[in-house]
Amino acid sequence: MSTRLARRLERNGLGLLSPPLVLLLLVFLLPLLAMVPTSLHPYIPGKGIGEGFTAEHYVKALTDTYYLEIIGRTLALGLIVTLICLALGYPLAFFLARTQSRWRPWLMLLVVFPLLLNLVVRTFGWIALLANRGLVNDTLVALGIVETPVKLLFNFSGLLIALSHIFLPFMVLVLVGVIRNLPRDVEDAARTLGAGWATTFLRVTLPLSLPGILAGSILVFVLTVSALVTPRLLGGPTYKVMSTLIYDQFLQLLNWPAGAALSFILTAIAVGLISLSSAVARRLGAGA
Amino acid sequence: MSDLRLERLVKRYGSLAAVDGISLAVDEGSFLSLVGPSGCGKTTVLRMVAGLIEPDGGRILVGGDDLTDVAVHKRNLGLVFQSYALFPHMTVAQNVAFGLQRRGVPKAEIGQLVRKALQMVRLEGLAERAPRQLSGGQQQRTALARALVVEPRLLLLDEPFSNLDALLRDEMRIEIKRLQQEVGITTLFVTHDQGEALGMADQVAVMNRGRLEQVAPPRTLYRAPTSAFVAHFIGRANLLRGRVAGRDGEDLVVALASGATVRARGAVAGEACQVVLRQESVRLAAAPDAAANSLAATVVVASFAGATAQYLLRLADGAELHAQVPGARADLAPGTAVFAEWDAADTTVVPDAA
Repeated sequence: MSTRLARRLERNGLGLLSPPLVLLLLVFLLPLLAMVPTSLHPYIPGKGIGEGFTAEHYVKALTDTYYLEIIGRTLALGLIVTLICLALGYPLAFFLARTQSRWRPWLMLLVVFPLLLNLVVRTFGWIALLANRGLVNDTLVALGIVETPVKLLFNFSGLLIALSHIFLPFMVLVLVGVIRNLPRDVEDAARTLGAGWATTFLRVTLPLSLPGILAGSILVFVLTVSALVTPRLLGGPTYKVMSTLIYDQFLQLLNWPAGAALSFILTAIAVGLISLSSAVARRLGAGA
Repeated sequence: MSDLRLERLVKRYGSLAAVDGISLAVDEGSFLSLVGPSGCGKTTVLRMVAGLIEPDGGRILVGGDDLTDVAVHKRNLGLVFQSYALFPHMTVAQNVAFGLQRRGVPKAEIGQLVRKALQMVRLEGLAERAPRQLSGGQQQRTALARALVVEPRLLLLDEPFSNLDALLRDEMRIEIKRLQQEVGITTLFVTHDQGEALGMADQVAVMNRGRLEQVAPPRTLYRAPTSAFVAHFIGRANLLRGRVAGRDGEDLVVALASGATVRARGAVAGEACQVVLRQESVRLAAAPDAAANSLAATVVVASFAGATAQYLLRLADGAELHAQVPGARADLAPGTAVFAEWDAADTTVVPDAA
């Protein structure tokens, strides 16, 4: 028995993987699972977690329009931020991966540079820029593009702008790695076979960079829907997304059961979307 | 099908001329090998013909049409890459169909042409495989089918054998030559391997440091190299440095550095010259022969290889001489004193490049 187990562990590499696996189970999965019963207990205002089991927190989160709006807003934010990062990041990553410039390392550093600044500082920077009397609005008004300041704080567009900026480096870094590793010969082959620049890009370069697009998108999406500091500061106390909602449930209302239930819903949505997009990408990759 | 003509083609990288004024003609339907040591500019020439590198000067003519400024995708040339460069996200059939789709060939016809092309390279059963599921040889056949199916005006081969093991390399060499003859397509073949270059081509062009050293049919190139570089690069000939001392009938009398004189054939301008002596022209004897060229030597290394044996000899003046003799008669141990002999008719002289 023990030798059979040993052989099995050896064959699939689980043996090698088991120390970090055990660590992950202990410090990550167990505390997470410990939250499951919490999410199923009733909450008694003023007293805290009650006895017995109930699914009311899940039911409420998935039926109450207040919660549904926040869930929808969070997902929309994640999706649009991902698309913006992709649209801005792909051309940038393509340039950085392909440029022969000797400034390339410095340009890469510029991409990473925002990550070296504290997140709170960057977010306050956006507050200064996006406020009603901030730089953006003052400029727009001065140029006569708008008459009164556009509301960019404490709403969707402010979050969109700030989160796209904050997570863009992640998308770029993932894509640069993938695009750099694309075989140039393959693109040259397409061109010698009669494909112009656009066709070569659409039929060869883009499909081959799909794994990078997928990895970068998942990363940005997950980071966006779970971001707490930026939505809290730019959304204010009233304009909420799921992470700030969960934070409030846990730390303001001390409603741990509801907070735990919302956490699991967020996790389930993220995991579901990721597996769905992986499946789609695998089919695209095989069929293209 | 067209001929290829290069006129004073130049490519510079900074101050270095990677290709330094190459003029070359490949006749319609013929096979030209462009061979040279790595870094000599041969791949740059091929990539300029394909349009992947822009030349700094000169012209590229295919069938009389000036393609120098024509975009890559409009040149209609077939290129087989060293890495094969198959599209990893497409099946074998989709790879082969790619060029046909770009040319707007109707769908039904594409299927038929792809099937025929795969038949030609004997890959009928593998049409639905992904490139990563193929062996190296099969990948190369796919690349070849993909390049040929569009009926290109030229076939360009960039070191196509360097990723194959020795056995497969021989097989593919014959396969490609057979296909080239069947299709009758003008072919430019770039390689660093002199054996491949000689074995496949109608004409061989030897390149060195961005320039052409010699362009000739394989036999001529081997028998009558015009430079020391070509003599050494093709078949690693012995080169004996000396001075032309006189003429005796058909023969040139060459005085070697050691003071010995040898007879050679050929003509050379000036006095300084090198005698080109093929390894297999050298005979080993126990006693000097007054009738032939004969130099005293000592065996340094003996290497028996079955059909032949290879000897490294040291001459009286310290120069080294390689000799290849039939294996059946080879039993000389290192240290043995011998006489290296050869006929003047088996030699040629080239100018001393030093």
